[in-house]
Amino acid sequence: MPPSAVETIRRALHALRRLQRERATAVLELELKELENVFALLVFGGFVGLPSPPAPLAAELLPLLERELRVAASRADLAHDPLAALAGTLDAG
Amino acid sequence: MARNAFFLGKGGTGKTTLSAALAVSLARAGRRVLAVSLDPAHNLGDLLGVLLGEVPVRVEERLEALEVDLGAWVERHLAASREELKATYAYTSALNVDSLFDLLRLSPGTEEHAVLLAIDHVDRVLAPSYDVVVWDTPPTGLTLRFLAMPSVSARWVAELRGLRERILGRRQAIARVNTESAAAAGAVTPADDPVHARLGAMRERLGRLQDLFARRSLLAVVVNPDLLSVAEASRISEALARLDIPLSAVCLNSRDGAGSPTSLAPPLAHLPRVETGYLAGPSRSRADLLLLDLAPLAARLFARPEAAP
Repeated sequence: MPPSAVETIRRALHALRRLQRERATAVLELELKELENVFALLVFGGFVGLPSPPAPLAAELLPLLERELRVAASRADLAHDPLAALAGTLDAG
Repeated sequence: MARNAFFLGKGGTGKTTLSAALAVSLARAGRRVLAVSLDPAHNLGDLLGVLLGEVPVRVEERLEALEVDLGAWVERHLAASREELKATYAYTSALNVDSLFDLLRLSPGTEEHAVLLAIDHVDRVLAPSYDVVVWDTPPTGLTLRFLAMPSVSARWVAELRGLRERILGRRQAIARVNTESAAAAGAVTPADDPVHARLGAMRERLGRLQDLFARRSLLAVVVNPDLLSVAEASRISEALARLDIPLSAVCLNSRDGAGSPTSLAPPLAHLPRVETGYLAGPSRSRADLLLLDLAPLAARLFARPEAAP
């Protein structure tokens, strides 16, 4: 049975609200991902030739940083064109 | 809380002999003493005439001693990390855990980290049962690296903690507006965040070690009447000054009876000098160690205000 008109309007409003919320947090989410990326780079930079904390400290944090490593890997995909990613998030151009 | 005395200096100047002598003299003066050898050469047991291991062994009344097995501490540290990694990443074979940890064993910092874990263990677990802990240190290079590591690591931990708090702040802000956001999933407050908690535990451990080295210990550098040992002692003094770790005394250990250098270079000149005398020939018994005069050093050790537990 197709949804009633009231249900359809309710779903539309919910989707609209969700969209507004996502737009409101998009820039914050971008900043958060960059912060998490920087965190992973600072801790594990030694593995790719960057200055890093003493290796035992990195090893102690490693088991807890799965999320940051995933973010760092995904940000690496965008590394060739970070401005395009930024422009997309800001809805510019 | 136990008082701590560290002997530093060029190899062969008599650090182990003075460590043993101070430990024996304090024990015979009624103090409960633990002598700890951090030197991989492990001559402390030879001098005390007792076979030492990782747990305190009774040497004589009120005196116990142990030798830190650095290799075992490295293995323990790596095994604990490996187990934690296996538990966290059990579902994936993408991470080649064993080969990673084989590399860590060889990476700079692992040996110093193992020394610090051992020192922290002795300080927290064993030292409360004694009045004094006397530490015989490894060669200067490793000693300076492990003395420096807490302050270097503490700076890293402080910066990472600050960054972590920014991350949690952003997650909180996102979670308030959009509870369905994947970005806000997971911990949003420092109290919930295991990474923040781990950094906090690291900060506490490093702070304890900084406090032990800089405020709760008497550090004495041992020199012989020769240019090389004095030059190395000067470098030790300068390196410790950069770390804000005060050197408390220079021990002039004239083992061969050749007399003391008439003057010390400026980094050492302002330090109290303790003339220990010398042992004619090799030490044959623990009683021989008492021929060395370490009373001024013991007086300095007990003149220091006792650190609060």
